Amino acid sequence: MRKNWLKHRLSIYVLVCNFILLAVLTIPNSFTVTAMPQLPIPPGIPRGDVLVIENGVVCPGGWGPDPYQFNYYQVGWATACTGFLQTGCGSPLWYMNLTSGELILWLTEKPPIYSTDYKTLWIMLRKGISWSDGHPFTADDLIFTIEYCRKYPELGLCNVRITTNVESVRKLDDYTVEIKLKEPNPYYHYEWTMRHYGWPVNFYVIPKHVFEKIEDPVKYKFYPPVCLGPYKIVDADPTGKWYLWERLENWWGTKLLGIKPSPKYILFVALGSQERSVIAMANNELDFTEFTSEYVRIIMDRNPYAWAWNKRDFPWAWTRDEGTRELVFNILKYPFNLTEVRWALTYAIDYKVIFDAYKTPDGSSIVPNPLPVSRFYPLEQLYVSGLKTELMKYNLDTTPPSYIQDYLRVLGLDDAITWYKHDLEKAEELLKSVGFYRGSDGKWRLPDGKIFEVNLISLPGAEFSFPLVHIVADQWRRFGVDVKLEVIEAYWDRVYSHTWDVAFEWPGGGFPTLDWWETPREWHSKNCVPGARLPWVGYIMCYGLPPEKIPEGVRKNIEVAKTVFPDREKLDNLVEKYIDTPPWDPRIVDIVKDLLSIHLKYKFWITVFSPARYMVGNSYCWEGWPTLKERYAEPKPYCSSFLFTILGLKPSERCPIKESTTEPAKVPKGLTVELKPLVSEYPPTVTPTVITTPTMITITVVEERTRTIISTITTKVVEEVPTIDWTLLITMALVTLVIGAAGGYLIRARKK
Amino acid sequence: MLPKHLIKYFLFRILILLATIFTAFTITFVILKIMPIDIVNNIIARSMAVTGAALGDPEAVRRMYEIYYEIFGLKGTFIEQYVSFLNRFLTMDFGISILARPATVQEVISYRLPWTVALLVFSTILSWVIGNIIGAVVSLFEGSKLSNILQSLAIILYPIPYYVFALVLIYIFGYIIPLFSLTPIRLPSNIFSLEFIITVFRAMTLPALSIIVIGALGWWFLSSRAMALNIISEDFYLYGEIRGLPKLHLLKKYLLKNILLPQITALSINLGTIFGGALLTEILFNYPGLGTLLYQAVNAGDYPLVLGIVSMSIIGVAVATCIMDLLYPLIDPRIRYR
Amino acid sequence: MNDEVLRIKNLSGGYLVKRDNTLDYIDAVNDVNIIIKRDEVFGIAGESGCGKSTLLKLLYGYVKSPLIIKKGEVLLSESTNYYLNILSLKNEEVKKKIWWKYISWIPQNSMNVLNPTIRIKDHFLEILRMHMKIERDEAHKLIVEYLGLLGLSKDIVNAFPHQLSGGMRQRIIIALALITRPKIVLADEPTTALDVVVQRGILQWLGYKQRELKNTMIIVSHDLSIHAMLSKRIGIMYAGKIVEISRSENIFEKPLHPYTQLLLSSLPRLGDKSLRIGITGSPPDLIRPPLGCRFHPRCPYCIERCIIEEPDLTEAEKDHFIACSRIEKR
Repeated sequence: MRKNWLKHRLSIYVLVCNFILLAVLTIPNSFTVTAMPQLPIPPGIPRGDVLVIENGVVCPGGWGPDPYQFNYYQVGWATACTGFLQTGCGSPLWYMNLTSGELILWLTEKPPIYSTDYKTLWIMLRKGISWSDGHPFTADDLIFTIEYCRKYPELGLCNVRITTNVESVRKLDDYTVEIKLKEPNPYYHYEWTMRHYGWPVNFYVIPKHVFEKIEDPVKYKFYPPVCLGPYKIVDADPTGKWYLWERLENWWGTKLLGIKPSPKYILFVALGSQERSVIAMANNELDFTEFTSEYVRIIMDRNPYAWAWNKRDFPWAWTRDEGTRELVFNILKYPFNLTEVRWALTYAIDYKVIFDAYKTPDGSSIVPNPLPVSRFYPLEQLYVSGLKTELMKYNLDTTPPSYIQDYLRVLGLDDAITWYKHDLEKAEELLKSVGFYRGSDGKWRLPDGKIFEVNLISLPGAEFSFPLVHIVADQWRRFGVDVKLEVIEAYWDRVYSHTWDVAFEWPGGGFPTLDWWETPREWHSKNCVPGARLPWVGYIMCYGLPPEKIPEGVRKNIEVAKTVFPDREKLDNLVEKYIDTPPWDPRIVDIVKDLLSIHLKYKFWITVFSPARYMVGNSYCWEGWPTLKERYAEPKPYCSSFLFTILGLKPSERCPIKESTTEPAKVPKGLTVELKPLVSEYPPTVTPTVITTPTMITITVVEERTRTIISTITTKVVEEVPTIDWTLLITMALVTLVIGAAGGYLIRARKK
Repeated sequence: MLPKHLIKYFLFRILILLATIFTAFTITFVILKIMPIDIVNNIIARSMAVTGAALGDPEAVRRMYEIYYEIFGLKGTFIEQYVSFLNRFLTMDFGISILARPATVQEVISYRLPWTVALLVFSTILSWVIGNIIGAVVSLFEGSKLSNILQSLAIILYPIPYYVFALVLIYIFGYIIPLFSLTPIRLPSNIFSLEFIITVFRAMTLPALSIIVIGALGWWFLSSRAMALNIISEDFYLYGEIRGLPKLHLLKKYLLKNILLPQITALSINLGTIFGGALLTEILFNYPGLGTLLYQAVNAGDYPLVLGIVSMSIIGVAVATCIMDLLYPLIDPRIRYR
Repeated sequence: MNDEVLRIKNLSGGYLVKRDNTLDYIDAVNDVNIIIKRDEVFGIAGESGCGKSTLLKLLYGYVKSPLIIKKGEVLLSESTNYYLNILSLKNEEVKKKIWWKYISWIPQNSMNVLNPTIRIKDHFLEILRMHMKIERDEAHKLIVEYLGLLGLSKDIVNAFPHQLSGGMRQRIIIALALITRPKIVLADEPTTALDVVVQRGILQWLGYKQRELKNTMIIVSHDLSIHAMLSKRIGIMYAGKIVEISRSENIFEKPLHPYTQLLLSSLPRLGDKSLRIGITGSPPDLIRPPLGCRFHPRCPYCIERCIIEEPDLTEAEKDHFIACSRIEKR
């Protein structure tokens, strides 16, 4: 007996190792983790004084090449990794309160003041603001910022934005600036309002007294930065993986507005991968980050202090993202230039499968969205519910599953509007009407006999493309369409080569305002000129135009199909009207509705959903995260709006603190104003002028009533997180045993 | 004074070194140029994608593209660009990294170079030494229980991809027994303090361990054991044995010395390639090395940065092999009089 | 002081090999009895595969798997009346006490037995430092002196083996074997790989050294001409057994054993132009050697008794032993 064992030595070793590996990987962590957090902070700072934020979504693995680059007006974009935006170091003139759509007066004392022809903008700055180095903030800084961008074409984006819009800028007094625009533009104040992201969406002000001393201001890295926000930078990792900020005790906001943020230190880290984020948050070394739907269930299970959007309850998902997710068609290519084909492909998708695929154990998932506008107030009420009759014309699903309807109700959305019906007959009808036919193998063929193939491209992993594109590809294949799915790293180059059919992108969305941001601007056909580089959101501006007008960049790579667009002129007119109508003017509502109707009719994009994002805050050390019931800010850690989340935090009793304050900062009431900027006939000077608010038609919009609804659905059961499947483990171990023994025996037999 | 033929050999060898570097550089440049990645597109598209913003006036957009192309030196014919880059290469100044404007490529690389070099040189050499010694020792005890166990272990470990092993390490030492924190480290400014050493140790141990264990017990062990077994069957080894020389002496002067030559060759080539970083290891351990930098640069099409890193790799390998060639005569006396 | 230096008594040994699940025993040395005297050159002759090298290994005490000792003793005469059985010692003891103290070995294929990565002087240093405590500089001087005595120039000292010619290397090996002045020197095919001219030089030198040092040399070779030149007494070995031992003159002029006779008749001689006849057949398989006399399948004089009985080594004439059933009868 013993001799036999010795013979099978090798296989026994293999088995033992296998078993150990299996056991280690599946036995749950029974250690209660109480390890000392080992954060990259200077010694002597207690854990409770530090707020640790991670920005995995936009800067995985840290801000790569040069971590000391803080002059974002150069060709850089990942401002979010460093904390420059989130701490308000780079401040805009106004913030937008993303929960209500109101403007927040930050560096300004009044909302933007337009002249009646909307060609001039007056900005009245707040008095008493100083930079973090003590130097006072005045109109000189704002003017310097504008001139800086205008003067240097090497700055690229910054230069283009200023030279396109601004004619001249003038200082009226130390705190008043006059900007003359090249064309009437009632949207110009958006350039200086931080809504969600920051630069390169909106401008921030740079200090004149620092930049004017630099010989080559274009190459200046601006480290350490001089800030306007309540934090200053203390230390940065040379490899870009963490940035440490310290609260400014003499910040102007504390003096003038009474705002003092609670955390003494903020640490922005880049951990590299979701596994590490889970481990870090489980060890209470991380206070806030975003998780994908696969990992959120792990952290909710591991750390009882982890709060998702509704703390520990359903729904976990935060669905107020300002972008929707679309499948964009390449409408210049045959057969996607045909509206029937686009609608057919839409009806071939079953959104219920998608909803189920993105579901997390609590039951929350993505928000089905038939239109490219975000589903929150007031867009939901005005444009989604408002277009219900139109949507019904296009086969809206009238019998959605009840659990999806419940979900929409909890979020305060119209539960009658989910998505289009999964109507394969209608899809067949549409394809047949343009001459497509099914071959003998069941696959669709073009009228000329070639197989109907769709080339679907997307980015890997990010932006919720997974598993959407796989599900859509699968459903189209079942319908009989051949799909070539490519998930490409070098995605943008592929997009710009124009050689794709359908691309997963996110051009739609919106803010809690009446307007539909800048999206419609691109649709005007004047943007389709030879030599133009078409932006990434598709070719709507070229639809309906003869092929000679299409830029050579596109014609070089693909065969441009003939596009028929009877509403071309109508669309152009609408866009022109849109540009001329101020965004706060209720008349814009009808314009947007018309635009959306056209978009719906021609289905340029298939809007699939508003994404479900899992923003998880660790309440072990810091409490007061914005939640569904206390929604005072939107929790996007890589956005400039995160500043207001920081202002809402206070320490819990669990972590030792030394210098953090125990109460959250409160943003005073008077700081936010309604959305409407002011319109005046005369420039605001020292002599009093009459400022009139124009009379407007008021639209009553129903507010969301979330509170009562939630109380009736609190019985929603949270799905149990699966524990180890012991039967599976034992079966696997036995199978490995058998295989190992068999292998060992065979090897031995061979040797002889 | 060295004999004349040796000097001729040196010069010739150095000439080959220069030719190798030049050729490799040219090939790299050509490949990068042929790659269909347009970094300007990438930059603009990326910034627009994050924000969802349109750019507006197409004329202004076109102008911006032109400016960008000019700034990045992407204008001009192929030959012009090649010559200007060759110039930069000779002065080791690769210009400005596109991704990290206005930081120069040198600056960007210099942030990460010490990390990569420290980790990879350390782990490569250590795994080489350990693997060779264990392999030679095991060959002496061929047939014994210890030898069998080590061999089985090596065979089990060798095919395990090092990233799987890395994940196991993270799981065990970062999660179950949290000895090592997974958050990035902060280097104390005083290089000569104990704290500095401890912090560096904390950051480097797990990645180094994943490389060393798989490397040492994998390839180096198996190859050195195989070679040592060969040598044991040689006549001169037998002669050493029958003279009753102690086993340790045999190990040192007979086994190790004779397997040294091919193993040092392999080591030198390995060391030369460290400038490519170890991409997967770095990603798994969130280690700030050249691998992830190279990956980001290639993805974005930042070819000055890619050229910079790849050039270092080229020079590293070429110089390593050259040094090896020049050192061979010292190591193996049989090659001395070619 | 008796003149015996080594007495081999009933020595049997061979190799255990595994083949297809069975263990085979190659009977390489079977019941060998030899007495070797001081100050003589004893030659062991026989064709390849007859077990000569194995016999040397056993004499030396280098018994490493798969070689095993079946029975017998190798008695080394340390002093008068005290014999030490080399085979009874453990490996470590043998290394320390016997090797290079009493017996040294010049292995087969000597040209390749030097470590190519260390210098000649290091080879000597290895031996010297093992057997005596000595400083490097002192040892260096000793080596140079020693090589000088041997007629080898002192430039060799710092050379690497590959820089020397085959003949030089052979001499170094011999020098290494002799440096500790052992009582017995085993030489296994000392000149097989060299060309004839060098061969002669080495052999002369070897003989000269033996006469000078008055030690015992046991030379194993299949080449009878070497034995003709050097050996005082010769033992003929066939298939693991000693078939004839005598003084070399007897062997060459009056060979008694049929094998020896046939062996000698196949040697070319100066002046003799007649056709040489080889011995028919081939050496037997030592795993299953023939019964009775192991030479009987090839012996032209084979009688019935040869097939049944194994002949013992008996003294047929004075100082002339043979193992043959026919001769015994006489």
